[in-house]
Amino acid sequence: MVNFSETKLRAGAVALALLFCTLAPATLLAESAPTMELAASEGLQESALPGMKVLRDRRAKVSRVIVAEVLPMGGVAAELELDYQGKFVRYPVRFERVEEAGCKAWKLSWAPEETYTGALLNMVSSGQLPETTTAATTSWVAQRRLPSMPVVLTRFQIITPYGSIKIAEFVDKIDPSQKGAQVAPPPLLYKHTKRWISEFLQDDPGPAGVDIIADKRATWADFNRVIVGALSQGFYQVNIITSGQGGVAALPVTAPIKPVPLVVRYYPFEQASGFRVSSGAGLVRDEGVCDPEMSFCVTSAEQFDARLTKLGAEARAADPAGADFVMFATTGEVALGDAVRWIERMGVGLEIAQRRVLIGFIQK
Amino acid sequence: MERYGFALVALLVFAVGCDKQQGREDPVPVETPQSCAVEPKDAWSVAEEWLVTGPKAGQDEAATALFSGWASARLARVWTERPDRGFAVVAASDDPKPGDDVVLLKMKRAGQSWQVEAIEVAKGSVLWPDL
Repeated sequence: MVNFSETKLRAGAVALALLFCTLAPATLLAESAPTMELAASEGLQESALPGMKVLRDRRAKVSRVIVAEVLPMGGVAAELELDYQGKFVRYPVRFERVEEAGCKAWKLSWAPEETYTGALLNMVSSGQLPETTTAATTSWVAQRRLPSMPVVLTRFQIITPYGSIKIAEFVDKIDPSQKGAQVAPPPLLYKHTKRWISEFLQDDPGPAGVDIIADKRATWADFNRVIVGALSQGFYQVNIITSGQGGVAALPVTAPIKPVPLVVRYYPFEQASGFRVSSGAGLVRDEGVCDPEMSFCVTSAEQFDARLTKLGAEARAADPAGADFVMFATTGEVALGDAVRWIERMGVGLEIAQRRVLIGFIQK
Repeated sequence: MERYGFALVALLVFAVGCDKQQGREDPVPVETPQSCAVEPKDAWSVAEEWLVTGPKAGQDEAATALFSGWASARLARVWTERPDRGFAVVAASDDPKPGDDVVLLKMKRAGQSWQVEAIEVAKGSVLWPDL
């Protein structure tokens, strides 16, 4: 005869065992999961990676894996879509294949350092991203592209996924008479970019982009430091991350990879915005400009659009092949947010792809 | 005390059985590693399963012929577009060169599940930067 309490105990043991079976994959494989998206979500919940801890503490959510690129030495370079206070941003991570209990699984193996992660969240929620209003941008998370190296630029620091670089400490050591001193990148930025290429990308040949998540008050000089630093390692595709009409947006431009005939130089004046434009060998000159050195001056975005349309037509008539690209340049002290309001109008105004706007710098 | 001992043994027996079931030999070749069954599958998992099942009858002939001609196939990259579009690059190697022909899987999400809707031939440079 079976004792009632023993039956209950056996039933309890079976139930406990079944529960164990059900939960085993989740508990035993806390660091891995059957799909990449689950591994990302579990990483957010449990990973000891410092960047993931920051995301967890600040209640960011993983929405999806946007892009996943298989790397030459194994593993996957990916970008997650994060939802932080209703702002959707890209966040790079690495996944590795692991085998757990006979199952192929994914493990989140790398995430940016906490300094970068915190800076990214601060920047997108601060209201200090450059503002864009035109269709030249796309939603940052909707961009079709391989993973890019993200760099946060504040007024005082350059912050990469590997840590922060204090701009003043670097600038103090530069000889201002040195050629290119105003846009010279910190040596540490070179090192971080090299690490990104060798460690994160494992020298994968496809990716060549950098996303600059910058404070609109950052100077054009410091913005150019980041671009020059990235370009030195072959990263020429640049996205200026902005606050667009539909959320966090990306304004595509290109590092100065080649000389182009059409150069638009921007100079802010008190009463108007001046532009000095060279097209081929000649300087464009309108009559009645606000400053004798300027080609034309405008007091509104609409005036700028109209003048660009005319300029584009003239450039194409003079040199159809040379009018495919344009360089936008300004001086070092101009704020990035001020420059962006003109940059975002150049592609449409000149009837060229927005990504064909090259970034330039005017020495004082 | 015996009863607690019995419960512990039962728990261990079931736990081992559970582990053995999960740890059975994976019959899938190394070229097409499979995740254990899990729902919901993400775009990568569905594309990975496609490596085993291959093209369906009636799908793009050029892409079908390209895939059939490979000794093995690998996933090179996968991306998703909100709200419900996904894409995967299937190639003869992990690291297709820009000019290599690859098979592009076009996926759609219905509810929680992704499915491959169409295939076509593309180049290994899909998603590479373009000036």
